[in-house]
Amino acid sequence: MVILLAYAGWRFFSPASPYSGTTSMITSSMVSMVGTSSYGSSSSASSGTTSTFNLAASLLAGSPPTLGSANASVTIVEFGDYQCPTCGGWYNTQEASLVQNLIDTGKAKLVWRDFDYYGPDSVSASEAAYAAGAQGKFWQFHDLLFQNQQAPNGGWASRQNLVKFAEQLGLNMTEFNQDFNSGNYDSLINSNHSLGVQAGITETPTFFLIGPNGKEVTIAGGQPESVFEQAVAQLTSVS
Amino acid sequence: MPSPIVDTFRDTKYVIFAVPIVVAYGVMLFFFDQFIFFAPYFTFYVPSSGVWNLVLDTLLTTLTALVLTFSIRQMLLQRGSGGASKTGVLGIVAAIVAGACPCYYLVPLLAVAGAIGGTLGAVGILLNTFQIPIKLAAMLLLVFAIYKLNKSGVCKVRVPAQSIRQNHAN
Repeated sequence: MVILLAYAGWRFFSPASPYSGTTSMITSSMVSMVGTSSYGSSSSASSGTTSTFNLAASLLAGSPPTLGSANASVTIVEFGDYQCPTCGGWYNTQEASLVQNLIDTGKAKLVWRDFDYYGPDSVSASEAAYAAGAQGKFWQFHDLLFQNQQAPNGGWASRQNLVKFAEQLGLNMTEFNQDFNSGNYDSLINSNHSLGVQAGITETPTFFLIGPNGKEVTIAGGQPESVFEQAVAQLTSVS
Repeated sequence: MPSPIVDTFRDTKYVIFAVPIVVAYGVMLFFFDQFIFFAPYFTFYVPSSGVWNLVLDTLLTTLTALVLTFSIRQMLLQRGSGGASKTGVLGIVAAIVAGACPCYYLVPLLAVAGAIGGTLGAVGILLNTFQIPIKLAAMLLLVFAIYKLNKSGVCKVRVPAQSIRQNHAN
């Protein structure tokens, strides 16, 4: 009971970020509901140096797979694991309405970043999705993975099965196999994981919603789509 | 004659004692199972796939509160009579063990944080996957505790065989 209370308190008071000055937690007033993503700092006492971690800039850096209009004012960055049951549950119950209400309407765009921790099959699934992405079918492969998700590490995301998924999508299999086995995506997968750790992820899926002017809201866990609509409205109205 | 458990909850002070346990433990379980979210907005949401888990959480919460309250009452009532007090302590232990079952959430969480990973993380993920059987086992333990407590709460008067014989002779 004591452990549970301590854990609940920890999760409640630090839902997304270990950094000082974190304002991702929404409080009662509207002004404080949206935190800036230029986080205070994480200082290194031993070296005496202070480094600033800009969450929004880090999340938007590079060219991660993105669904929706490039001009959308809000970016939703999802950190997930293809083997994570909560991520699968959220995909199967919420993602379609999120795409319909926020992505297709141009209010937001969805970015995927891997946070693989369930095991080697999670990493293989990420590699396969990127290999499919090289042929312009990242999101189709992403959908196929979540639609076929089963118990973690039960073999459904084995390398052989991932190849079968690629065949199912009608990908060029020579290119896919070459890409899939190349190890080209290892550094991207690792850097996404490091970014997630830096951002203070404590569960998957975790979503970072970045609005105009770098305002940021964190949604941790498999929350209903209505929460995303509310947060997007909040981010755009504050700006 | 009402059973000791019914008798316990006829007393308002035990009901008042049990309600905060139900609320506190229920909120924690709902939070772990992602039925309640505190950020960015307070949200209560039960996906269609989560109904069974919600029912189990509610039952587990209620049973835990019953066992804890009942155990404490038995211990208070039967202070001094060793056997019955032992049952009360066992009831509390059962409630703590059963209540600790959601701790499986801690292990994958630590794995996520990159703090431990490896075997412990894998164990946590496995436990998380089998959370429904674990909750069922915890409930069985609590039901057994209620049965034992109820049995120990019934007053037994032992009449020496000799005095019975004497009564018959008279």
